[in-house]
Amino acid sequence: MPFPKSLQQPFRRNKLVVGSGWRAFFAPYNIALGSSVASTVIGPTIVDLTQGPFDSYNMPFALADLGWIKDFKITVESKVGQVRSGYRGAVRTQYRGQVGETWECKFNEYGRMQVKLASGTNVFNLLAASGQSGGTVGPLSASGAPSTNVTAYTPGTPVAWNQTQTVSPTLTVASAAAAQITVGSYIAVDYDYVPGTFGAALGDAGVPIYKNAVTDVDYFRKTTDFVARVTAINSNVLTLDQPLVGGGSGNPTPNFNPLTGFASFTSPTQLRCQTIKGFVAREGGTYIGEFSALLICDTVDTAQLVYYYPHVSILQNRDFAAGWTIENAGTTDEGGMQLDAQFSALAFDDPLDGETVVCYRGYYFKPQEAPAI
Amino acid sequence: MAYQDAIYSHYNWVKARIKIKNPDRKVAGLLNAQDWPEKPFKYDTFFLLDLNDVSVGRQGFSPSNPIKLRQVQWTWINSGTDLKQGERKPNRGDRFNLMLTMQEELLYALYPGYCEKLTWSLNAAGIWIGDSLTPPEFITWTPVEFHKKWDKESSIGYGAGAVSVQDITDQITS
Repeated sequence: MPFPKSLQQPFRRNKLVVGSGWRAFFAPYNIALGSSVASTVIGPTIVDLTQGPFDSYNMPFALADLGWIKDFKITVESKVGQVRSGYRGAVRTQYRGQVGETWECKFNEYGRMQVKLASGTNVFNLLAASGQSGGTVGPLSASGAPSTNVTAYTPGTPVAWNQTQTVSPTLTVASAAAAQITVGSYIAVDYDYVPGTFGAALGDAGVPIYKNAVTDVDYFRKTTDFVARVTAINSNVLTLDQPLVGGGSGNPTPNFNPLTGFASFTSPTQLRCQTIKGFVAREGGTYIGEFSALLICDTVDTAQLVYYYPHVSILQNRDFAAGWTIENAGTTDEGGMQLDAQFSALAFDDPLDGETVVCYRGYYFKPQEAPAI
Repeated sequence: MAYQDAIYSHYNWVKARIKIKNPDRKVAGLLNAQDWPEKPFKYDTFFLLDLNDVSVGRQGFSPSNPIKLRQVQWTWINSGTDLKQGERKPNRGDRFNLMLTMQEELLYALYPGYCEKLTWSLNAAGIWIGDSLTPPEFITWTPVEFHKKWDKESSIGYGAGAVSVQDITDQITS
């Protein structure tokens, strides 16, 4: 008789999962759609999990690459209740109580979109055109004019973020010089805000505006996700470093599709472009960032683990610049900066069977795997 | 073969990538550390030395499928280029740059830190053939640690890049 299994612990080598951590991809959540109806099916960017395993170099469903995340950890808050009865109080049955989950991670790559996710705020672009009057009214109140009209946009090919494209995205403007746009400029692109309009989620970034609270025509460009760097200018055709990211969170019919571009350059108002120099995330306000998120861990033997959160929102902005130590950096307090974020998984009513869930955890087979056990 | 597969797979993977980075770079072979250096010695050439094996501890040890950390070392020796007649510059003055160049090549070649574990055999023509296992298996290795030594008298430079290859060995049966 062979030696007992429990003493020898044989295992099938292709049943071990060896990966190198997680990578985060996001897509906008349509706040206007999601907040106006009772069904939580409305609003998320639906990721068809049957399309996986996913190619991290060419993600579908307008998922944008937020880079390497560290210390990804989930905290399941779903409860299982117990019904006890009888003289001994034994558990006779169990039932599911509340459903919930929070998760946290650190964004090792630091960018505007990561800040938007981690802070959960409507991040403000700092307009950069020179010669403008300073703001004595508020830190973000200064005018960013001049601007220039946008007449065309192509996202390039492939439409992918943080990687090389064979054809770069372009933005055609009326006059780059008029808006002080030069090669190397950072730009923001969005529609004019019409003073007097208000709502819970206006513009493609889905920012809340109270009645008569905003008079700045640049307000959408100050809050837009559509930012890029100009790498070349040829007859007012701006070549961008990467496609515009985001959008789809605002009005029920978003004006921007990350894969194809803007539906119109003159509607609802004129689309314009302005230079920017950075961004600001405020602590406070009423905006709460909401997204759909897909987290991926590939294994060396080509299996893939995924977490899909149809509706995820900020739980707590833990640190804007959490330090991580750089070894041997000398005697100064030198270190790296990362974004420490915590999220809450919101409800999604799965249309397949009507069950309310918050997360999908998937596993895609590797070749020749014994799938059952 | 079986126990050899991990080392051979690592060697052939890294060798192929060295050739991508620098097609002219010589990769002379795999041998036990105590057999090195061979004579006559080949300068500016990579060798893979097999040092020893360490078993994974309690976190993953299985008597049936021992997980081994195969400690290997990519090794080379640079002497620098001797001056030709009529040249005026420090003799063998490029050895430092050559050492760093080979380090860079090895760093490139060890990417991405894993490869498929193939089983190796000689075909009728005497050529090593690597075949996939069923089901496919993979090996991983640690980030490389470089070590360098210089002999001031001879100007000979000795470079080594140590990695540990994780290998789940074939199942031992009763």
